[in-house]
Amino acid sequence: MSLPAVWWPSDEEFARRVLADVRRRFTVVTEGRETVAAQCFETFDWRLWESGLVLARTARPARWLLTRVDDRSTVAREMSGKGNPRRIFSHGFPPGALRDRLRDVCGIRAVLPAGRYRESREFFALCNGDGKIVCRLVLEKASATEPRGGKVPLSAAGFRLTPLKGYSREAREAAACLAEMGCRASGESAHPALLAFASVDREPCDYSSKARVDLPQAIAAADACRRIHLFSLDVAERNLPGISEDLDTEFLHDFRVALRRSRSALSLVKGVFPPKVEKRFGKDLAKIQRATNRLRDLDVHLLEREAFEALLPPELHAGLEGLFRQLAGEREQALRRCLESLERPATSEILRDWRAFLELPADSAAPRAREPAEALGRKLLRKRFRRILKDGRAIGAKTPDAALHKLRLQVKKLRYLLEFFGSLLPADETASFVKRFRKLQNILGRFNDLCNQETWVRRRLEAAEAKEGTSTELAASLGGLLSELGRARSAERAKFGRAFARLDDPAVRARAKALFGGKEGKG
Amino acid sequence: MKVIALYNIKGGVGKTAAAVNLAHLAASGGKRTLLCDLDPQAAATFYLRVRAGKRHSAKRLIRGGGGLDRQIRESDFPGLHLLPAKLGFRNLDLKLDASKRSRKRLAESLRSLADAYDLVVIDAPPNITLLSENVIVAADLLLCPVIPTTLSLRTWDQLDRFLRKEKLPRDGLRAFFSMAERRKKLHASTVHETLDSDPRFFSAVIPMSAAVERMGPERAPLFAYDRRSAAARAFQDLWTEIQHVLF
Ligand SMILES: Nc1ncnc2c1ncn2[C@@H]1O[C@H](COP(=O)(O)OP(=O)(O)OP(=O)(O)O)[C@@H](O)[C@H]1O
Ligand SMILES: [Mg+2]
Repeated sequence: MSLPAVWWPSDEEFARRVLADVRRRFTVVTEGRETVAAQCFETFDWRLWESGLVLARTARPARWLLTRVDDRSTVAREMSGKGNPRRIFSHGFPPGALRDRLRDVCGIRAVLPAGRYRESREFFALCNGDGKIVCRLVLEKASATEPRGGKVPLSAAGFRLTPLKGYSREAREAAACLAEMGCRASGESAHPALLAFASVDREPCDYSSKARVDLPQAIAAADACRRIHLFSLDVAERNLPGISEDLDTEFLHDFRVALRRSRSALSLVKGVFPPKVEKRFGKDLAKIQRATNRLRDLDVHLLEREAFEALLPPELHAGLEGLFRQLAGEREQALRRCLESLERPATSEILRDWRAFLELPADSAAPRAREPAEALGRKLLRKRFRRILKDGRAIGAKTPDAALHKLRLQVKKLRYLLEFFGSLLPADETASFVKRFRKLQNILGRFNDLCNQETWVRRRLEAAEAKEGTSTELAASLGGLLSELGRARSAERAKFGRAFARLDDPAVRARAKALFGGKEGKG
Repeated sequence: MKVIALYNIKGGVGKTAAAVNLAHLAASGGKRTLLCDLDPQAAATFYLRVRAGKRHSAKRLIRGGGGLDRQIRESDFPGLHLLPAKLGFRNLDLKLDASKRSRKRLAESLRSLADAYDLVVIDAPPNITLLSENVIVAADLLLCPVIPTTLSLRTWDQLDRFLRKEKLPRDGLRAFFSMAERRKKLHASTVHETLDSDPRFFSAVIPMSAAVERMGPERAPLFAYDRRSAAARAFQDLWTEIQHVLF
């Protein structure tokens, strides 16, 4: 029978009392102690933690340590420089296993400082009458430290008991001794990073842009919409500081997605709020979003660099160099403008008023305010699905691209509606219905991206050609890109027919009917 | 898993001291090491402060497997485990004699532990017995401490002749000088001449040393309390040479 590895007294003082008791039964020899001070790093949306990892930087020796949350084993380590970075991207780490792993897990998100902890271990050997060690005991203490080095009242202390082979009887005796003193046994100790996170008011997975709003079944439409909007508003507001500090591009991205989700809800679910409210906030949220358009566009193009390079032969890469340098300059300016606008009192006023309205108890006289959200959701979904089938069927090989873009927006609206009302529908059926859509949505999304890229590259090329002294390198690269993007766009469009057929299928229509009710298209 | 056996027909030549210190060095170097005490005097067992379990017996030793594994004790030093000896091992010869394939029993028994250890170091009792033959068969390296005296060198030759006569494996047979006294002229010249003429001798020479004697009162391997003495350095050198031969 294996013994529990870790025993928890409540605090250090109690731990000392337990130790005194252990000394009464065994000869206890102190074998040494070690202290580790570390600073944790994590992406804003907990990508490392969600992958079961913790990234920390220790002070002495100065190095990065990537460990597993569950057994605290080391996944990768790397020497670290000094300095106090406010954010680091995976490409900012020295080449090696650590960087590779961070790139896979964190993608384009930067890791940010997420609190500090100090951990100390005191090693004790319990000996028998022969002076032979029969069992080892480690007193583990962890505490969070404030950025300025002061102690915050977050700490934990525990004993780790390590039996020696051939001495299980003695280990059981020691364990019994701990238990008698009132230590609680547990399989593993909590990762001290949790203390560090708590010291900066964070908690694993306390932010996700994806989280779905869970609605109670009988909720009225106005209340449901309030909750949906509040969720989006929370997401938007939580991303504001990261945008201001320009930590990575995803703060702005998530902020915009949250705004768009709310704007869609306002326009898709009409009549639940007073018309004045719907009109005002529809306009105001759009205004906020518009101020971020330019910055986001530049972010998107800057993120396309690798993809563009992959499309071009190496000899055409040189031309891109200058282009991206130029974009980076434009971005500086766009960032300044965007922040000016977001930090304007008018913006916070909009968000404050919006929150005030959403947190108001629902007593709205709007026509659909008291309708059950579930029935309303089904009705809207049914309409949207029917519309998608109708529009999609009308698309043939010769239909202009614009029809595909329109269809993409329809599909997106359907996805939003599913996000809003999904929790009121049977989970499994909804999930498999969504799965049917994913392929089509991806194709339409990529097709749209390629069209946008093409337009943008063409504009850049025209501008370059109009300007005196443009390098031929740049023109050659842009020309090359244009034809590659065109090819990729046609290839994507060619996939549309089959993906749509997967959706316009009796089984899917039957599922939609079961989910949303009513009659669905004609068979 | 490799097996080193410390063995000499003659007693009191430093077998146990070498077995304990080499095993300790191997374990500190990261090798999962089992020190296997086969001498009923149980000196190695004593040095590591272990007592054999009540159920431990010659029979269990020969049988191997889980029953033997349960008799293994973890030492105070990371990576070093000990299979203790007990007085009952004086009957080992009888037990071996009664079994089939009587020369190979020890090798087979140790093989049952092969997954758990990188290295087994055997501390064997002196004399020539059926147990010695088992040790010789089991060993990849049959390591013979030799005191640099005429009589001691004679037993080394006797061992060699015995292996030949009994058609026992001789590939792994190696020796090193133990308890050498630099101030004795005879010791010095014997060491010198033998190292020149017999390539089976490792060049590290373990000196006579008060530090090694202290293993008794300290009840610990030499390196646990002394790393600087000439003897400590000599054991370190010897272990380096052995690693080249064995791994
Ligand atoms: N290098 C050394 N210098 C001084 N004393 C030594 C040295 N090596 C061993 N001794 C001492 O000599 C005695 C015999 O050594 P050891 O027990 O290692 O020999 P052994 O060959 O194992 O003996 P046995 O045949 O009785 O098992 C012990 O008291 C030991 O402390
Ligand atoms: Mg001995």
